[in-house]
Amino acid sequence: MVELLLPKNSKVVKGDHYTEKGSKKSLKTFLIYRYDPDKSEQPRIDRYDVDLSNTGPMVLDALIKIKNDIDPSITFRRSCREGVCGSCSMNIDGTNTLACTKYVNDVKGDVKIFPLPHMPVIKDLVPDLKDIYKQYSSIEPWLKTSEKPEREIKQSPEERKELDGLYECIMCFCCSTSCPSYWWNGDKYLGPAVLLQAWRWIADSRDEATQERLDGLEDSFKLYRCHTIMNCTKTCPKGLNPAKAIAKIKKKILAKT
Amino acid sequence: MLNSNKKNNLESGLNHWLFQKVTAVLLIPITIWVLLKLPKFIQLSFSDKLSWISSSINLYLIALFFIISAFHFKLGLTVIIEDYIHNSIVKKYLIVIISIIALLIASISLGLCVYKNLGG
Repeated sequence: MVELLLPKNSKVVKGDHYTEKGSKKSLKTFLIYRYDPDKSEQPRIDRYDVDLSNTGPMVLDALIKIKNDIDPSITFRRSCREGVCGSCSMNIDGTNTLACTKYVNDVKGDVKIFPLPHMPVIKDLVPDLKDIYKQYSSIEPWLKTSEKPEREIKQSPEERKELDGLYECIMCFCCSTSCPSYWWNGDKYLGPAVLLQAWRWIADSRDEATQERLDGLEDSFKLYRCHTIMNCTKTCPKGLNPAKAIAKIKKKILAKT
Repeated sequence: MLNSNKKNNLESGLNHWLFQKVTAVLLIPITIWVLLKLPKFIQLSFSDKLSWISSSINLYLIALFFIISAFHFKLGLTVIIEDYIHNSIVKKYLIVIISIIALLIASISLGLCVYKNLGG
């Protein structure tokens, strides 16, 4: 049934306030979601006034500075710090994006940082992605051929071009976690990130399992929960278009029927 | 998890999606016709309304409007119920209820057309 009451941990309380020494002009306020499900405490928003004069320009730089110099207990994922690994995806200033490619100065006022929406939280800004990885593996994201080729399978430049806008996806899941349809039915709907990957293999001229892949997706929940809300395309930090990929899957299924 | 088992029509996401688009497109011209006729129809007296509806073309178009709308309403509400109602029993009953309502609307519209054709 419709859940009328929110779970207990939905109520976020006011947390601690940390201030760095520095000129008032170079201080920027970061409001960061803090939650540890292993403790009985409510989630809280901690406030950090960070001196930006001696840190890098990105939100991730500020987060690393907070962890190193102000509060070592803050937890977040990061790796490449250049928008390639997808680890530092989080909700910054109301939009899902990568902390490493988001400029602090692009945020007007306080920088509000939350974990990716509607995902279970492991700790602070670290969401639990195990279910979404299971969904990714369900689309069998690898090349399928009937014979094992001796050498690489060649593609024409046009065939290779079909993969542009698809292969660049770094699986940060900003898109899936911005999708209301994925929020309500994330256990059954595959979500934009996984469907973009599904299309990546369907569109690959070397793959021979197109029909099998399309049959697997032809389901009222796995694919057709996409209601073209377009949050996925709007939020993608790599500028990709998962909604278009989903529309292409629907068109291909229609054409093959 | 990829499976190639063919699903029946009721489980098919494609049919549901396709019929929703087709009924939406069909409703565009017919709704424009209804909206154009409606202001004049409201101002008619009751007996004039009855004679307007008893004209074959008006009756068939109105019936078509209600039949397609009922189908589109059923498809659209089913998606909304599937999206927001997560209790499987409540979900099932609500879908049955809206299916009955849609079927009633479509049957009455169709019944009136048949009655007209029989000389009623």
